[in-house]
Parts: sequence; structure tokens; C-alpha cells
Amino acid sequence: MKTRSAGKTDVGLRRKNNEDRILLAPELDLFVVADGVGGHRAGEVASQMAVGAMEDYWRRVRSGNPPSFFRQFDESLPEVARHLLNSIHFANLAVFEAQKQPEYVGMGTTIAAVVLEKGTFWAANVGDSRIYHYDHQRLLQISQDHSLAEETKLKEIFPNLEADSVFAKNALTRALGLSDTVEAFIVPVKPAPGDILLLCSDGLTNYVEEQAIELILSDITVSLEDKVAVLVDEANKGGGGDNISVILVEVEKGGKWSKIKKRLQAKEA
Amino acid sequence: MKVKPTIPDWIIGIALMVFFILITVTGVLDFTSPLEMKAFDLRAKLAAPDKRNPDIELVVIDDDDLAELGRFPWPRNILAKGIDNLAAAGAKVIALDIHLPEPEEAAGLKVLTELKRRYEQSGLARLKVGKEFESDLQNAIESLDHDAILTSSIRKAGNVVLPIYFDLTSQARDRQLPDFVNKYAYKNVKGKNKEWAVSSLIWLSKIKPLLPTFANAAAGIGHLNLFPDQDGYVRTQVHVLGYLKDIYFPSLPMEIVRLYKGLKDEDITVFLGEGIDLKTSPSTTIHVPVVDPSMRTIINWNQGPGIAFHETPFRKVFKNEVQTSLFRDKIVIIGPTAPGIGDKFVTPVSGNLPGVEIIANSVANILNQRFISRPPWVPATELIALILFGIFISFLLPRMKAAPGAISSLAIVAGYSTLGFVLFLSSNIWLRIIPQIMLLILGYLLVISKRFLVTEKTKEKVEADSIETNKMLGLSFQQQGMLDLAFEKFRKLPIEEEGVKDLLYNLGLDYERKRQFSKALATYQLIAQAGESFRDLDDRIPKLKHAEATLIFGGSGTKHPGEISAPMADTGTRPTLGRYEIIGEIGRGAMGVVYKGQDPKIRRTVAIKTLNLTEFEESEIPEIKERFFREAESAGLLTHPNIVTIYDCGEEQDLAYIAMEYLEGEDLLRYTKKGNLLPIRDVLDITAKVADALGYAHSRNVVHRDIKPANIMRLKETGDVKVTDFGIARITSSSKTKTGVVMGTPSYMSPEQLSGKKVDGRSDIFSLGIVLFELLTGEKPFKAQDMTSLMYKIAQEPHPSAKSINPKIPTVVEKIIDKALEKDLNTRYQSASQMAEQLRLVVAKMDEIARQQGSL
Repeated sequence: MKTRSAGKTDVGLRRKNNEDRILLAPELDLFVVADGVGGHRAGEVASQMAVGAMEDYWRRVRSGNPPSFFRQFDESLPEVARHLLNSIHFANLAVFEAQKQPEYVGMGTTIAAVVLEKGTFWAANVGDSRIYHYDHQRLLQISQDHSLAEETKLKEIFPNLEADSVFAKNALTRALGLSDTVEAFIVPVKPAPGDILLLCSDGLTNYVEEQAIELILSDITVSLEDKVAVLVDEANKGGGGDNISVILVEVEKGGKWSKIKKRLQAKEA
Repeated sequence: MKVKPTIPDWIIGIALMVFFILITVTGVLDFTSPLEMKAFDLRAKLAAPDKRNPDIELVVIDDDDLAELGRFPWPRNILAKGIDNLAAAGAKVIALDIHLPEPEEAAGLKVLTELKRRYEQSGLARLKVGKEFESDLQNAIESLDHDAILTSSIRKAGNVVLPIYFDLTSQARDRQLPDFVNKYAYKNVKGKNKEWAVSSLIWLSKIKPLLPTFANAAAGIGHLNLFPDQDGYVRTQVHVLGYLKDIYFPSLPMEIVRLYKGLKDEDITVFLGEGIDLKTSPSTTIHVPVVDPSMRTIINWNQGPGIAFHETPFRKVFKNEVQTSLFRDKIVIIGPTAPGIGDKFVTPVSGNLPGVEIIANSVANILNQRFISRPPWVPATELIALILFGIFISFLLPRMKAAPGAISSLAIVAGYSTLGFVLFLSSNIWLRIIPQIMLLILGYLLVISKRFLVTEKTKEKVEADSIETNKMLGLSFQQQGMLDLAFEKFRKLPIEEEGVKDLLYNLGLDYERKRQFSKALATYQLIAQAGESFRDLDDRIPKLKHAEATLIFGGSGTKHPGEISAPMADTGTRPTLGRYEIIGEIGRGAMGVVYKGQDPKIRRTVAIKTLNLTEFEESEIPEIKERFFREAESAGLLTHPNIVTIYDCGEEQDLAYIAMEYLEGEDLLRYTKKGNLLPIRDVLDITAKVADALGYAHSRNVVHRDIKPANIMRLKETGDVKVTDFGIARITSSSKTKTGVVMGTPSYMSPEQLSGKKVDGRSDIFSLGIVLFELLTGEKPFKAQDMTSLMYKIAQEPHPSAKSINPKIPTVVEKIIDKALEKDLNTRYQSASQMAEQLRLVVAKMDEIARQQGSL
């Protein structure tokens, strides 16, 4: 299965620096978005570390020299899924070790990562950076948010949690770098040709409605790169209050006929 | 951590290879040969043709013959009749697979002979009537003397080959040679001077008897001894047996061939240790090969029994019911096949092959020149295969991943065995396959199981401190420019491990690039300490030492943005914040850095908590600042012996700060660990004082919001208790829009605080209840794996009994805890002072009891 991908990270309109980091590594079939948190620019460091650790890890996996598993993972998961969890575990360790330094105290990062193997995407995340699957009919969030606002169980107990809380509404309930272990959410997706996977930080989802995102993704006349640009622009139009990161991964349609068809359609447009 | 040296894979592989070469070449301890024989049998069975052999006819004695002609052994005249008929039918050679050791025991003949003797001695012999009787008697004797009949049949046929058997079990030596031995033994034997060839021959010393009259009448005599392999299978025929000394005796099949081809003594040459040459015509020579110096010739089988060789029942020959052309000019072998008479042999083609077929196979092999051979290049090929396979398991396999390793090993096994089969089926060449295959399989198992064991072992060592994680984390840190962290990780690696020195060396170079020479030096010295010179370190270290000495006052290292410069030892000036001189950093809290400072005017030491405003979005900053100062102000109004005094607040550049009383002491965090708990009385006393402070603050409408052991200080000198950080929790959490703040653990929060309701002093009471619980038991009342369940527990589930964890806790204290931890606001203590009062009552009671006990 062939994919095409495009991605961008933008500081937004109100922040001074970009604490998001993205990794587009089609050669490793790896795509990562990380949204760092922590004072004194440590957020940047955390997200950069996580992304770097993921890249290091998967470079070894893809070169046939995979690291051993640092802890037990569900044996029923295929090896690639366990490597994804292990790489997130490794990234967590890196951030956790680094934040023991006084200048990085309390830093952490979200992570949303997708790896592709044998026609299946494995999507995993920690925190509130999201992964969506768009199949030209609907946009479906496949990641799980680990933020206060999304912990549905809590909403039942504390109905007015969001109204006035000691916590910020978007406070993360899970992130990399908080302790020496982290539980990541993982899910497989079997995409059809033409499907699109979207990885993004909450800088996009907090400022652009999902319907709008869906509309942008549905336009087959717009190239993948332009879709990324449009999504970022929309977030900035919506306020741009946070760093915005977007990665799109599209499964290429196989066969010459569909390629020709696509070209014709593009010409007509 | 030290890695135990393990035997490298290649040593195991080479050792295994050498072992296999030794056992196959010498044959000592060769456990592969039984399996090789099985593989041979499989090939032999596959290769055996089922085409009918045109030269040989078998005359078999089967069950029906026994039923018709009587019990075996038959009277020898029956056999004689058969031979007569065959000779009449024109058989070229007649061979018997029937042993004829001694005279036939016929009771009637004995009586008649005795009768004739007595008659001759009596007077009757001289009478005329007596003559007639005498001739009748003589006829009767002659017709009953079957041995004489058979002898004459054999002599008349003139082409009968008889078998002899050597006694394999007896150690006895024949004193007198039977007459036939010299007649039929090989005359042309070459290589008698080769001692090894002579000595490795099978030497026997006793021949089982053969009636001399038969032997004299026969046209050929050969031995019929077979020498099965260890597993009981007959695979070879020995055409040359050594007898006594310097006599080389032929086999029955060889004698058949001699007669059939009409060979003379000089046409047959035995080359000891090599084979037998038969010169069948002036221009053609048949070479009968052997596989070993004991002159065994491998039988190349035909399918059997009863398939490749045509069988005729003896009774038909006896009654002359066979077409005469059937036997014309053919080799006829007579022998039993009926169960119970004659031997049956286990062979590769059949587990039940009668002796006649073995003879027929051996004869057919020679006549058709269909031999299984092992030309000189075959053992060489086997040796080369062993060496190649050894190299494969030693050097290639250990470098392969599991799947490719298994597949290529399998492919090699399949390829080599195919070669073995193809050679056998197409060219009758026997290539050994089992030793090579076993070497490969054993090597594979060893390498794989070793790898499995090694990975198992390392699995145990994983976790955070393993070599691999340290290496990977270190590299990650180095890539992010966090060289110190990288150094921390790399130094945990065993220096002797491959590649570790390179890692450290590269890190040193990175340090140099950042002009952090002393750290570069430390890194290089770590390598140097391991002994052995490494790359250019012998050169580089002295240079660096020099550079470091000149740069010592230059100042180096990176500074983090937004941070106040550390005091410079060499300049003597100190950075300031507001009117305070910064002396040092105390720590980092939820809000920002905490500094130790000094008010230069009154020489008062202060603690300065800072809030970095750059953390927030610009639009929020005014609101944040306002809230910060409002909280600082309200907290500043509090004057209580158990509350840390706030002196001052202000802002400078991007920092807002609060200056407060500097305390020499420790917070209560360390007293929450089991085994390090304070005495109950002291805990109650401290809690009472905190409750006092809270009661006072609440009366001034200040709520703490973040009561926890870390915010309660115990002074070093007086043991006094001070509550710090009033209202600060509110400042830090005030940013509503700020995203991505990681939540702390809300272990001490009240249910109403968690749910986001407006809180009052009673929330602090709940938190204090948790602190009290923890200080008394060493455990938190609400514990959960993740935050969601923790929040759920605080809001919904009752706390456990403190007394159940620490039985020494008085019941009344448990009641105080329960009341403080009421989920419902209205059933909880309504004021902290009330709680303080009750706690103090308990303390007083305990003191009183202690006093009474002391006075008693």
C-alpha cells in the first residue's frame, strides 16, 4: 500500500513560540504529532525529545535491528503494535529522565503517532492530540483524548466540572514525561484506497469545527499539501490561540485507471 | 552492569563441524550411520526396478509344493528328479539354495543293507532262486539310496552349483581341508602384500560339512554366508571370504556367474581391498566394486519378493509341466520360499526376502553391471559439504534473523538431500546425506537455542536501567543537545561493550563544540580509564587540559532563557529582583522558581516565589497579574504564628514575585512514609496548629485551597509549624484558556473542589483530614491507578478506617478524621477552630495519661 503525506506546524497567532513538533517520515512509515507543555520553553524541549525518540526508535525497527521490549505489552497485539507502544514508552522515558533536570522540571508532551505496516495503520496516542480517519463519508476520531474535558466518566460525577474548576478545562490527564510509565491508547485502522488519516494538535481541533475539517478533506480537487495549508489557515482564522499542527496521510488509489481518472478530474476542475 | 562473556557462536559451530568430520572420517562414535542407512534404504527402495530379469529363473519350494510332495526336507530323489528335468530343459546353470550336509537318514535303506549283508553271509546266496532274490534286493537298495541318485543327477547335469556355509560362531579351525576348497578358491589374487587389505578381509576358519560325493559331482561351490549390518538389514554381499590362511573363497553368486559366463581361473582376478575383475571376453572386463576393505559389495536391489525375478513352483518342474523354453540357457536357482523352511532376510526392499532372491539380486548386479558405487570424489564432496555447512552455522546463521535463518537452513537441507537422491537414482552413486544434515540441524538448534537463552537472559535485565535503554536514551539526549543527560546515561554503560567508547568519544566532541572543555575532558577520561589508547585521545586529552586551564575564567555553559543569572563567583555582584539580592535558588514549585534572597537594607533573608508571566498569553497577563497581587495581598494580611509571613510583592520584567519569611526547616512530606511516622501525639499537635492557622485565615475570608504535607513546614530549631502558600493554588490555575497544562495529582482535594464549585474554608478542612490520615497511617485514604478513578473515589467512595491500618490510633481520633472527611459539606466540621479544639483536647488527654503512667 502506498501513501502520500503532508504536514505543517504553525505557531498560531497568540503564542510566542511553537511547542508543537511534527514528524513526517514516510520512509519509516511513521507519522507523529507532539504538543509539549511546561514552562520556560521546556514544552518545546519535551515535544522535540518525544519526536526525536520516536524517530530514533523506528529507524532501528525499519533497519531490521529493533530494540527489545522494555516492558510487557499485550502479547496478542502484533509485533508492530507492540513496537509502537514500546516506542512511546521509550519517548516517555526520555522526557521523564530529562525533566529531572531543574530547568525542565514539570515538562511533558502529548503524542499522537501512526505507523503503517502491511496495509494497516496502527494509531496510538497519549494526551489530547488527535488522530482522525476520513473515509470520504465521515470523519471519525480514532484516538482517545486524555484531557479533563474528555473524561466522560468524570462528567457524570461532576456535572459542572467545565464551568468552574481549579483545573484548566483542557488540562491533560495523561502525558509523556510525568512518570516512568505511561498508558497509551492504541487502535488499528484498515484504510481503503483514498482514505485520509489526520493527526493534529488541539490547536486545530479547538479552533476548527469537525464539520469544517471534514469539508476540507472531502474536496478531491485540492492537493494534500493544500489541504494542510487550508486547515492551518482555518485554525488561525478561528483565533489561532494555540500552536497548530497537522499531518495528513492519504492512501493512494492503486491502478493506472484510477490515476488517469484522478488526473482528468483535476484537469476539469 | 557487567555482561558475562558467552562462547561466541562461531566457536560452537566450528567445534561441531570438526566433531562431525572426525566421526564420519574415522567411523568412531559415528551415531549418524544408522540414520544414514535408513536414508540409504529409502533411496534403494525408490531406485529398485521392478522389470523382470531375463537371465534368471527361480524355482521355489512353496507351501503348495510341501502339500503335494510331502514334508521338507524331501527325500533327495525328488530333488534329483527336479535337477534332471531342468538339465533336460537346457538350463545353463543350476544353483541350489539348499544345504546338503550329511547322508540322508533313510530307515528302510538301513534295514535293506543289513538284510543284504546277512543274505550274503547265509547259504541262500549259493542257490539259484537266491540269485533272483539278490538282484531284487540290490534294485531295492539302489532305488532307496537317494544320495546316490542325487549324486548321479548332479554329475549328469554337469552345471550344478552347490552352497557351503562357514561357521561364524565357532572358534574351531578345520584340520583337514575339504577336497573342493582348493578347486574352487580364487586362483588370481592381487594385493596380498598389502597388509591392511589382507587383514581387513573377513577371515573364517570352519566350513560346515558338505557331503563329499555331492561336492565331487558339483560344477561349482560358493559360500552362502550373509553379513547383515548392525540393524539386521542385509545390504551387502561378500564375494571374497578369507579361509584359514591364504585361501580366498568365492560366493555362490560369483560361482554362478563364473559358470554362466564360462570363465576360466585366469579370467577372474581379485584385487584385495579394491574389487574383482571378471574378463568376460577378450575385450570386456566387468569390475565388481567394493565399499570397504572387507570386500563388501553393496547389493543394488530389484523389487521383490516375486516381482523382478520369475518364480516357478518346484512341483511343476518335478512333474515336467513347464514349457521347456522357459529354462533354456538360463540361470536357475532352486530354493525354498515357504514359511518355516529356509531363511528370510530383512532388506531395504522387503523385510521378508527369501535367500534365493538375494542370490538372484547379486548375480543380476554382476551380469547387468549395476553396482552402487562411491567414486573417490564422493567422500571429498561429503567432506566439503560438512565444511561448508560448518561455515554456514558458524558465521552466517548467527547473523541472520529467525525467519531467513530457518528458511535458508531448510533450503540447504532440501538441496543437499535432493542431490543425494538424484545421484543415487540416476547414477547409482551413494552420497552420504545424514551427517551433513545432522550437522546443520544440530548447529541450527544450538545457535537458535543459544540465541533464545541469551535473549531470555537479557529480557530479565531490561527495565529502565538496561544497556539498551541507556544507550538509546543517551543518543536521544545527545541529539537534543542535552549533553549532560547523555553523559549520565552513557556512563552507566559497560565501557568494554562494543561501541560504547565511540559513543563517549562523540559526546566528548560535542562538548568541545560547545566549548565545555572540562566536561569533554571528563568524558574522554572515562574512556582513558578503561586502559588501551583510543583513537587520538593520548593526544587530545593533554591539549584539552591546557585549553581548560586558560579558559577557567571565561565562563561557559548554556543559560536557559527567562532565568536569572546565577551569581558570578568572580565579579562579586549579585542579581536583584525588586529590592532583593538573589543569593541562590531554593527550588522550583508549581508556579515557578523559588529563590533565596536578602533585603539589603535590613539584612533580612527572604524566600522569593516567582511567577514567569511569559508562560501566559498576552491577553491574559493583566488578569493574571491582578489576581496574583490580590491573592498576595490577602495572604499578606494574615499574621499568625503558624502562617508564613508575606513581606512584599512586586514585578520586574516578566517576573511577578512574592517575598516571604525564609524558613529553616522541612515540610511534612518525609513524615508520610511508613516507618518514618511521627508519634501520634505530635501529629495531633501539628494538625491542631494547622487547623488553628486555617481557622484564623478562614475568619479573614482567605481559603488556602492547597493544603498538603508539602505546604506545611516544621522549623528546624523550634519544631514550630508554619503553613505556606496561602491562595497560591488559585493563581496558578487561574488561566482558563491556557491549554495543555498537566494536572498534578489531586490527592488532597475536596469533592466540591474537584467538581469546580466555589469553595470555602470547609474544603481546607477536608484536605487537612487527608493530611492527618496520611501522617497517622503512612497511606493516603484515596488511592487509584489513574486520575479519573482517584477523582471518582474522592467524590463517591467512603475512605477506609484509619484504625484498620494503624491500630494504635485512638477511636476518638478516628472520629475526628471521619468528621473532617465527610463528603457532605454540612456534616463536616463547620470551622477549622472547632477541629483544632477537639484535637487539642485529645492531646491534653494523652498528655494526662502519660503523666499518670509516669507518676505511677
